[in-house]
Amino acid sequence: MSALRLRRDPRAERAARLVPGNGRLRYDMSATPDGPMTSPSGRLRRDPRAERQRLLTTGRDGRARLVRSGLVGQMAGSVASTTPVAKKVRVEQPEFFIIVVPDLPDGRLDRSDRQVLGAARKLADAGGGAVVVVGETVDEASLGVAGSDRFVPLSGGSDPDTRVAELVAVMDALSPRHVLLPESEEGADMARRLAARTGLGLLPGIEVLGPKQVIRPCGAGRQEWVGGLAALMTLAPDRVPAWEGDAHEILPLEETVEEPIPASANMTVGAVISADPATMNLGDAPFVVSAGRGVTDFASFRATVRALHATPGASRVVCDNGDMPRSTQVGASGTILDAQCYVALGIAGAPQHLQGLGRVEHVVAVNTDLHAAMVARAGLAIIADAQTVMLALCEVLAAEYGEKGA
Amino acid sequence: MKAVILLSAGIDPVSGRPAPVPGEIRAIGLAHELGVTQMIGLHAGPASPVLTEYGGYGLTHILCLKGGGADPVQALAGVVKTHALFADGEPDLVLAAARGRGGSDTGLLPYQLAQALGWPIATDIGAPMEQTSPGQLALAQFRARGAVKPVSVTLPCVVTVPETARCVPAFVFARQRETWVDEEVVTVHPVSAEEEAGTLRPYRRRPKLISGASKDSGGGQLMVDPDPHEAARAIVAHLRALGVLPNAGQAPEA
Amino acid sequence: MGGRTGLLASGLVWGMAGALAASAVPMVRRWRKGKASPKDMIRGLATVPQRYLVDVHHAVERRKGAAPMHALVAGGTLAGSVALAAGVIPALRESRLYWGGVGVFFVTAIGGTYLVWKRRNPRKPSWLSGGRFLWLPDALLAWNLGGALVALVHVAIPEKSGVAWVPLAMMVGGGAGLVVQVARGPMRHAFSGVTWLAAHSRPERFGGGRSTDLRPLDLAAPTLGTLVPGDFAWNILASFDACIECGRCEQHCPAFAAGQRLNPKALIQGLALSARSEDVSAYTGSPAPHAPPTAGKGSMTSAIIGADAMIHPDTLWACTTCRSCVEQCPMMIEHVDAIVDLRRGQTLMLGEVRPGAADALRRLRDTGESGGRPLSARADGLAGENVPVLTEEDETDVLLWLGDGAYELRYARTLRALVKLLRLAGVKFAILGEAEPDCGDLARRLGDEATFQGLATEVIGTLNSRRFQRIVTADPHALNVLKNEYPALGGKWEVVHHTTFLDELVSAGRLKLDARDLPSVAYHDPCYLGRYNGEFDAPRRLLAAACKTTVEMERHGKQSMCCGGGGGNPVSDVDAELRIPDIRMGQASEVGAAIVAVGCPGCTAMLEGVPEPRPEVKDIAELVLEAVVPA
Repeated sequence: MSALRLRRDPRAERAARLVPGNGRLRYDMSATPDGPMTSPSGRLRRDPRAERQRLLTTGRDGRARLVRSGLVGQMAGSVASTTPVAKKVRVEQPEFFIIVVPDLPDGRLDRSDRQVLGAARKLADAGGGAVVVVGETVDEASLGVAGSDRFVPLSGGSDPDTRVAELVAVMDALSPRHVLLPESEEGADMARRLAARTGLGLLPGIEVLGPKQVIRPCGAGRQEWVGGLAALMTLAPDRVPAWEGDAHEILPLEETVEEPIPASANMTVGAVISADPATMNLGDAPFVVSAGRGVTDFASFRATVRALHATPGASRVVCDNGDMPRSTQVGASGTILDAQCYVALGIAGAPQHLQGLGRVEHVVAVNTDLHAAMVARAGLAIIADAQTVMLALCEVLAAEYGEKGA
Repeated sequence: MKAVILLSAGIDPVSGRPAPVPGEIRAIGLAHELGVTQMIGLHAGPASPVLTEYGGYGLTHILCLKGGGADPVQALAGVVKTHALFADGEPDLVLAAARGRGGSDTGLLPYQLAQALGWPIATDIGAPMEQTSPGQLALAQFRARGAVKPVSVTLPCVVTVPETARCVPAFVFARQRETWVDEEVVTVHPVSAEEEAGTLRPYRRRPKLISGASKDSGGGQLMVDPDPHEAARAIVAHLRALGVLPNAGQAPEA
Repeated sequence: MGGRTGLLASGLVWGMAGALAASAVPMVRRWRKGKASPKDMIRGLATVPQRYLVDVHHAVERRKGAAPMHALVAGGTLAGSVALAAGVIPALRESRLYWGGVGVFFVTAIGGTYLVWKRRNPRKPSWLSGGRFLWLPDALLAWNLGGALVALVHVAIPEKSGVAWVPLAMMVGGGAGLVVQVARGPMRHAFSGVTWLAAHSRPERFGGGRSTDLRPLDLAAPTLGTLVPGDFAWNILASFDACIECGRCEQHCPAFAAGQRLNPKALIQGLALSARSEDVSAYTGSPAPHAPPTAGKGSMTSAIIGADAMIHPDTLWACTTCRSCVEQCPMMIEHVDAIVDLRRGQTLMLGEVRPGAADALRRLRDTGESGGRPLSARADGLAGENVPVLTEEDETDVLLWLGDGAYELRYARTLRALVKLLRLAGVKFAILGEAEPDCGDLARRLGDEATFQGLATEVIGTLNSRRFQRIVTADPHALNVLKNEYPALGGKWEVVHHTTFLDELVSAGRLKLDARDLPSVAYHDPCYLGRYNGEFDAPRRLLAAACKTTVEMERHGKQSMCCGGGGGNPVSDVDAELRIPDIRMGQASEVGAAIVAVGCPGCTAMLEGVPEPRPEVKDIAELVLEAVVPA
């Protein structure tokens, strides 16, 4: 009946890891004072953190990299030095035009806008064409750097049909070879409206763009279509690189664009309303703070989440116990997150739970177990009692933001 | 209100088996939420067994237009404008999935149908909003990260529904077995057959460009048994560095 | 001359018999409003004594003191009353010996009555009901004491039998009370119980047999499953009336233990009350824990499930279909059948399932896999083992059915161990690969018979096109469906659990084991292997051969407690106070187990989901592989 269970003594373990010396206490976390950890049936326990440290090296861009094949050292390539060149490219008498309609959120080119411009540049440079950006107000210098040669401003109304009419007017004036848009929410909508209005061919969501052929997924993503270019095309995100060559100069457009005849607006779109982090759908939330078994006081947990302006999440155990509603459950059988940042309070990180962290970029873990999977996944790991740290976090936030933030 | 729901013979992306299209299922749910009283499913193509599954979601009358596949826009517009079903008045709404699943999946058809009917099209509509004026429909356009744009559109109109909409109606087998699938032969005259010649082949997964924001894969900062307040301050600083937490003194409106 | 009191006493018994018979009429009329289910009642009634004395008694005696109480009170009262009824024969009334016998029977019954009283006194245990039960001992005492005194008067002072008026009056009062108990109270179980035993829906269960398969549903029937009490078959309605509210189901229900809004006793009583158009206030036992209140009203033709009806929907989805309640029930009531019938009504007729379950069912319909994962990825965990895929042209001895646990890394480890063992024993085996869809277990337990039959048709078609000797699976849920439920749909093969198969290989000497000196190992019986398929011994033999120290949890074998993973409970997002697997792991720790041996992917996942510190969870195949000695 005497079940032999190895009980851990975290204090003793920590003491064994103390690095000798005076001044501040320092611990060597890679040391394993008890020798390898084993389970009751004799299976060796892995130390993912130590394994990771062994594989860590510095990549050519100076960022930390993991080399799993054991080729440490060979990866550190030359750091390419790119000295900025002052001269700007001028495309004065273009053979043809490529129109790009970027989204320009907050009046700036975003990542996918730049990629569409990169694609347009590629098509234009293959035959001496010019890239024309058509859009609402934007900083012209950044357009040139992104590879644009011309800029045609739009009025910026909230009625998509008016926007289409303005774009059609620009197309009528320039007879572009291609019109390119990002396959983003707004870009996708605009491209289809243009296609329906003009009757031009549309190839949406292109993943591979060549000078003669494009590839786009179809058939529920199980097939791909390969064929020639179309007049209207939208680009899937992160498929075509942005323009990294010399900046172009934005020249005035020689052609005149007719004012479109104003049509009666039968549709208006209002300003965007952001979701309230406290109530938004967990799968959409950019910042999630989650409670696991290490959290005991859920009123303070909710207060902490509110103070952080995050969306509350929870582990399966917590939801099963009814401490948090089922809708907050993160994991394979709950919600798969798409967050930028995930704070795991007292969650060890069962495989099922980690599956829920699918696309999360940054993880902060607060946990008493150094060997927890969540700690291995974290960018910041704190080995401490989650409940205590959470209360401290609540106090720190209250002190910093005052009553307003708390 | 009377509504037409456009149905496509979709397939499941993982298994490749015939399956209802998520946006179309949600279109049925949205129609219910908008108070539609009469609903007819319209499919430009021959009848197929998977269509009865829409009946389980509440669409118990489906009309298939055999021969309409050659020019679906023309075939569908013809039915909406002139079919005997709508002898007592045209439908007020045409609902469709924002994207099909299993065909060319361009999501273009609803736009073309709106153009052919001369109706406005409201896209990515995930929920109704509070109705303010008659003859107008107030709708919520779903955007990334749970954001919403209010859309006001004049009836009659075309509405597309994204997969992210949460108005999924319950599936009831008893309704599925009562579904009435009609097939009618229609003749269309495709105006342009100059489809870009291309070839279809199995999808090949290609690497994406790496995102600027690098993913944590562990091996980051580690604090063992710190003072709780020290740990809390470290978390706050870390979150600020990531840009998810605003700086002190500029707390966002609660 | 025995005097008039003796005759009157006999007449009273006859009168009471008449009253009881009359009280049965409305009961029978009510049952007849249920669906027809033709039963040979003559033959059925002939089997009742045996069914009662063997099967019912077997269940009754599991609770200490229950069997003697029953024997004394029921035996004494019945024997005394029947003997007294015989007193209409004048000659008997003259005999002191006769009255002596009557007296002994009634005194015996008084002893039993004391035991009945003692059950609820001085304090009523939580699992027992109150209400009319509380004055049942009074009625029994009045009747039996009256009877005993009447007999005593006739034995001691036959010449002054006139004084027997007083005990006779007691008997009248007690008799009236007993008629009320039978007609409108818990003692109706005497009549309904006999009827139910005679017309049981699973007669195979009597005499130590087993019948656990869910029955196919005619998908063209106007009503699918049960929405109103009248949708149940007449004998099932009788079974609800047969419930004596002893609360054994409640004591053994894992969902009840975890505070999951289900109390099998309250459920059966709710069904009985609905059919009798009674108010929920007539139920005096403990309710389903934390279940939101309902209107608590019903009738033969109104809905059973709903906030405005009798039973809250949450109750239905908390059931893990572990059959523990069925195993415990002394009246052999089929709780799980009733729950699945109700679920069928909710799912197929109304589409009222939990969101998580609705998603799983949609994926099963559209992709043939509950997680929507590609069928080709099922065997990914076995990629390194190079297991051949059985095509229509090939032939094999053993077809390995992987089940949906195969997608999980943890269970893939179990499967790899099993594959290695089969290789070591030189077994010729193969898998179906991409041709293996979900077997439909989840869909069927959730009441989605349409999806189940769709999947079953596909699986049966595939299996019938392959050539193999038998099917081996490490998933007891798949075992149950393939072995017990497909035959009704046209799929008949020999199907065995991997522990049964490994046990055969070990006994045949094809695998040699050397027991390892591990910390103590406890075996957790999976419900679908043990209670559903009667396999308790093979896993234990294997374990004994592989590990030196084994222990048994208090609840094991037929009394084993569920891990919480069955019946679609995990996908139904049931709210609870405690987690069922936590309770189960607690039981393992209590007996000092450092390792819990399992034989089911569901149990593995549930028990491994228990936060540490807890015993380690290992499949029997893994433990056997570690103990195997190279030949």
